[in-house]
Amino acid sequence: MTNLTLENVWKRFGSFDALKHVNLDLPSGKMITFLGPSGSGKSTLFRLVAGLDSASEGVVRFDDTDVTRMPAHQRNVGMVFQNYALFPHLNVWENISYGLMLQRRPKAERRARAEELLELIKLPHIADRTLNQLSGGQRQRVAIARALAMEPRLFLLDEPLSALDAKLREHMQNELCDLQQTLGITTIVVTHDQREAMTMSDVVVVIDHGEIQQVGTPLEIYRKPSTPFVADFVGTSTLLEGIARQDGTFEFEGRRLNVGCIGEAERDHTPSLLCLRPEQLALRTQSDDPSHAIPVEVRLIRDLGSEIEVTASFGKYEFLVKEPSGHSLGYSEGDRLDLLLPDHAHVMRA
Amino acid sequence: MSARLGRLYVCFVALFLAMPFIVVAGVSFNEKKRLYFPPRGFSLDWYRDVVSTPEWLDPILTSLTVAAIATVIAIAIALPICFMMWRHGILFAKALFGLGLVPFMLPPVTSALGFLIFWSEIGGYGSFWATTISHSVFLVTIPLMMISLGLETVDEDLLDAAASLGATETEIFKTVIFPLILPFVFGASAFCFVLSMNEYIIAFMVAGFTVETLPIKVVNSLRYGYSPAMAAVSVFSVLAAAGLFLLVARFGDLLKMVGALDKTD
Amino acid sequence: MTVQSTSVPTAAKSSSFGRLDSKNLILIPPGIMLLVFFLCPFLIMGAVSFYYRVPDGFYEPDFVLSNYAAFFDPVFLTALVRSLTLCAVISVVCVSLAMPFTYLVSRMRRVVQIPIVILLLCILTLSEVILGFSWTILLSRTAGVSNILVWLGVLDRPVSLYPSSFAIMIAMLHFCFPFAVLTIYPPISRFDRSLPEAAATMGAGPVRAFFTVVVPALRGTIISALVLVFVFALGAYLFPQMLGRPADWTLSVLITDQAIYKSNIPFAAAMSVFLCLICFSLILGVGKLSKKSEG
Repeated sequence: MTNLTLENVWKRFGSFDALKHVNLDLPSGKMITFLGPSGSGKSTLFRLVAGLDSASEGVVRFDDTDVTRMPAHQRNVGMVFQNYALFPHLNVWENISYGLMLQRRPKAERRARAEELLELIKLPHIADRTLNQLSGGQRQRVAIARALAMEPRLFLLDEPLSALDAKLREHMQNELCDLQQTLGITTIVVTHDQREAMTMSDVVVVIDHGEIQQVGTPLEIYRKPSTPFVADFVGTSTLLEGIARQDGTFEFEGRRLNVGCIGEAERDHTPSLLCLRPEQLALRTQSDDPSHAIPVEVRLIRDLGSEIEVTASFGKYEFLVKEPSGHSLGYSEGDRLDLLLPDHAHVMRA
Repeated sequence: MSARLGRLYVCFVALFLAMPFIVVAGVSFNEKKRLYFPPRGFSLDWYRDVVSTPEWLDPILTSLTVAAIATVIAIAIALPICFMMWRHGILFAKALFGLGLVPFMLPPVTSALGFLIFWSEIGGYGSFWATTISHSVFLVTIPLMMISLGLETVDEDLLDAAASLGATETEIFKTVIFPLILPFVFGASAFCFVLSMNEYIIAFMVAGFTVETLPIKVVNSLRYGYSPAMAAVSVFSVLAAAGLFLLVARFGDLLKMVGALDKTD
Repeated sequence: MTVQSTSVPTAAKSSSFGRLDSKNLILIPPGIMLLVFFLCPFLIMGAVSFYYRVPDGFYEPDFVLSNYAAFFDPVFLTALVRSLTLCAVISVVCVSLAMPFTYLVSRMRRVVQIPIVILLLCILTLSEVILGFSWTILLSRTAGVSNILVWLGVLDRPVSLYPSSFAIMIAMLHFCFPFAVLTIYPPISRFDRSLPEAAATMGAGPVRAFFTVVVPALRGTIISALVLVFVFALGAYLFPQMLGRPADWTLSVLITDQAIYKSNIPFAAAMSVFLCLICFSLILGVGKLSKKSEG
């Protein structure tokens, strides 16, 4: 159980700032994800935590120990690489017990530890197989076992599920969560897949352009995005530009919308953004309260079988609304309808 | 139709390539000291002669020793250069790598003359070490190219993985990098060894009259007339080379070593 | 993370440039070996090429151009022209034969490819001694191909086919062919197979697909192979002696002859330097050319 802290960390490559004043205090024993698009700096941050790169500035701490200048091989972090990085010249159990081999532990002990871990990842009979006898999913698990063999202080996984097919990915997500809960180890997963981040983690760290955008639980991130980037990157949303008023209303395109603005954006003066999620919206032919609706035109109807996605527009804004599948909608593309707004919605600084 | 034509072409060329070996092998079985093909009579006496008389055995042993030592030195030169260039991008290593490729860009005669002048200037002309060291630096191109080819196949994530599991830089080299490039090191050694065994011009120029390697012995005896014994020696040389390369192919991926793309990628 | 993953290794590497780390010390032994035993010989050879040759003796330090002036000797000039023509012909023939061969072999199964590659490597590593000896037998009266021709009724009685320039040509072709194949093997094995397949869907037979798609796409490879084989062929020194007459001697033979038998080291050195310069400029030139065509 290790608590990871980063204080004012910078990482520069030449004139390029890969990470800018990163401050993080991550709880121990939790499942944490670094979420961000390609090139956001999440992998740089990850390599910094692992000790594979060193920070240009700032301090990295494991509990109370300053590990900023400590090389990777002394940090005792377990890593799972995107392509697994299993040693091709070693078989399964030799891969798992590689760290113990470096410590010159007797063979029997290494073998026993490897068997123990294979038990843990539910692949008890493959100890003597070579790597090319394994499927992608099995390699993934062996990589996990290898990373856990040394009882690491931190468990780091870089895009662990990206190489698996959709079905297997979902299955492995659950297994990883179970494993993390059983071991209670502080775990960091790097991913660009917001769905994965939302379903797996206790804490999500959203990163873009080398800066931490938001840290919070998946629900917080989804419901109360603190920047337009987060709102856009996590889930689908429509951001309305306007001014949030003291009384909770939102002034938008000459209308005063009665949506009950919540959030920390400044009131009355500076422009803010109102974040609307598909599940907060509904389409009606006629609304009772004009201050609670926006007139829209239906652009596109897509029946996905499980649900129907309706795209409606107002001026430059596009809204996604989800309707249950299986019965008639009562409207079609091109119709003009009213978009019903929720009682409460999140506002943020523009 | 054209597929068959292609196969025919490949077979024809392969036959052309193998023809000298077939004839030499045939000639070596002649009973009398004349070279006939097809052989007249059948005898293995010439092979027995080669392995039992010092006339042939001595140069064979000399060549084996020179080749073995030259190979070890060539690998010892190439390995640090390739490694430092690949892992740390050291400029000096890159320069040495470039220098090491030069011997194979030039006609061997020029290197041989360079060695001849050098060794006579510093006083090593005609010595065993003149031959051996000259061979090792002349052949260094092979391990340089093959080991760096081998290093290119090592996934850098493996090194990070090893580091995260507690391996120091030295341990990473010993437990990950070296085992992975071992087939290439072995392949390079085989090439160097066979090339040194058969190298003539340099051995001749730096110590041709004192250190009699097998190729020098063959050329010298050609002057005094042919005998099936020389054919037997040639058969030995061919078999040794083919055997070593076969071993390399068993031990590693020979096609990859000569630069082919891995089809499983 | 495309930006980071590409910049991380280079950044890590550039930071270690020039820094005298203790780990860099392992470069010292190989450095000494190459600089002392390889670079020095070439530098000394360059110097010797300007030395003055003492008649009937050795040579002494000086700066004379007479060794280079000796190039205008007709013996040297004819040898030069002969060498260049011979190697050019060998190079063109080798590469033309090797292109389809390599292409066909690279598409065969591994079990077929490996023995062929081993055969090529054997020829390439055996050097000219064994091969030259083999060819003298193969072209001889008693054991050679002429016996087959007699048997076929083409000839009345077996003849010896060497010494002759034909014998040199055929032996050099045999020797250089594996080199040509192994030079073009890597690019051909990496060659995108869908290109000839696409040509096939448009109605080109395999032979036409080869000449209209494969050959033009590998133009750069062919040019560099031509140069490399040319330089490789320039290195042949035993075939002209074993299979030819003194009139067939090439530059490489001339250098050996001057150095060993005529004891004219400065002249041999001058010819060597000249040969090196030809090879260097050719290889660097073709390197530039291929870089240009890539960019």
